[in-house]
Amino acid sequence: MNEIRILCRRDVRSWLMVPSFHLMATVFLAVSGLVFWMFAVTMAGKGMLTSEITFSGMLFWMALLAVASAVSVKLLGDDQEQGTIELLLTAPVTELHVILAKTLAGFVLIMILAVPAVIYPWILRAAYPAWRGMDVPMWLAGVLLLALMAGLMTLAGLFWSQVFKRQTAAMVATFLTGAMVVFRGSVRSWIGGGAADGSSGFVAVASHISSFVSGMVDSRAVVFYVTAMAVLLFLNVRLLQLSRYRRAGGRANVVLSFFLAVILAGLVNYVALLHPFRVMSVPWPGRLFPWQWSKR
Amino acid sequence: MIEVGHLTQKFGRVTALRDVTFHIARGETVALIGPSGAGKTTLLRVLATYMAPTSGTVLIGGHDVITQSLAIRRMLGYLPEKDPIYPEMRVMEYLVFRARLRGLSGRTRVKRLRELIGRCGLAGLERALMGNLSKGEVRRVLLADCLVGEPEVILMDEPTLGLDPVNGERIRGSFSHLKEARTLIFSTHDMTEAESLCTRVMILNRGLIAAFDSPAELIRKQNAANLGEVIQALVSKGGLS
Repeated sequence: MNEIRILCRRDVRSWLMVPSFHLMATVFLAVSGLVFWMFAVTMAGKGMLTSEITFSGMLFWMALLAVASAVSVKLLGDDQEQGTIELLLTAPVTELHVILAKTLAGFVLIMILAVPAVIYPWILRAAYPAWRGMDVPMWLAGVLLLALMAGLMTLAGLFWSQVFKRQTAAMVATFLTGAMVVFRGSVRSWIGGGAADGSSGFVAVASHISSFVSGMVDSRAVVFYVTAMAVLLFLNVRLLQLSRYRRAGGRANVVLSFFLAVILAGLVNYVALLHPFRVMSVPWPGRLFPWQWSKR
Repeated sequence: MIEVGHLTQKFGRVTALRDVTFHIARGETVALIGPSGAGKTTLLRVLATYMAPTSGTVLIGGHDVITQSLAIRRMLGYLPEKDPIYPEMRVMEYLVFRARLRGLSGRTRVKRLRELIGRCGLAGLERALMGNLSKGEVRRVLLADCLVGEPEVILMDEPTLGLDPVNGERIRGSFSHLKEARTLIFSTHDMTEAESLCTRVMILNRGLIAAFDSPAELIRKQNAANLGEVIQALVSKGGLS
């Protein structure tokens, strides 16, 4: 564990030192601020929740995917480009240590980028004490989704940076992977005329995002994210091992491992589909625990 | 200390090392010499556990490089040929990071780093950004990194490559301290360096060991004036002894 902490700390500190990280943070904050302002202005008085205003904008997710792709790909891509991977792999650490440390670092960095953008409702409340649109449990459900997405994007970025030598190609692949997860369902809703509904053009990013930001934490979505992360973690470690143990049949071994991991993840998701439950938020004031469990 | 048996390393169709077998005892200093592409870097990378051999066995301190690579990395210091650096890190910050990875903490770490900074000629550079260092300075930082864990086995890939005479001498001076009680293997193109520092010389050519003996013995056997002539003679013969 100590090795993971040391490696992760180095990555986070190094990232915080580079100007490009702060530039990305500025652009992301500007985009997410603009989205929040647009929603706050256009949806004022239409009964829209602040969690929806914060997390439902397509532009917010697109910007998040872009910065998350850049951060996660460069975590391992820079080591490969600068040759420092040779220092890492000859240090007394395992491949699992390296991948876990990079994952943790990527998660922390993406959250550092994203958290200032999700505290806009609190700023709004501080500026207008009379405003009563704050929905803490729903906002927390949105933050949970953001954390799951940050973990998934980091692992996807690490994976693609090992597959592609060019960081640009890896970033595009990571962005598309994230887009597939975030926007699945959106395309269908546009084609099916969902955009005709007044708000869905902005709001209906994906069904699972809509449910999270309206305070419903669905076990199926959580299981999907967690198993996808587990598969990617396993694959990342296997790929890094492959770079060290370039033995005959090594690639076939990784492909076989991938299919086995996907089958296992599929089974877990199938069980989760059979036994779904969700945690629903109830009005915040008046209760100590703002959620209740329900079996579906 | 190091036992290599029938080691072969292939990269696709290219065979970098062919059926290499040798033994190096604890405390020996061995120089790997040979023309470019002879397999020196590949051999050092296999010993450093950076890459696993295609076939054959490699044991370091009784540990296998494939199944017990972590145990080997704990007893190993490695200086790579190219200069991999984190340009945004400061010298001291980098050395502290590497010392922590080696399990050094508290006063032991401070004492060890202070000693290495003096020995590797890094005084005054502690706060310098690695990206702003000259090649010689980077090499010295990486040398300090290689020695930070007080490793039993030290592997150096062309430690004085591209350095001016002053920096080259500084590095040579720093590893002359290491010769006692440590196993040191380094690759070099500098015959004087090989002759003056090592107990044995391994001459590699096209992935094969052309000769492996003490410098004096090699010179005597080839009836040559120096190691340079020995290499020329062996390489022109096709490299097999």
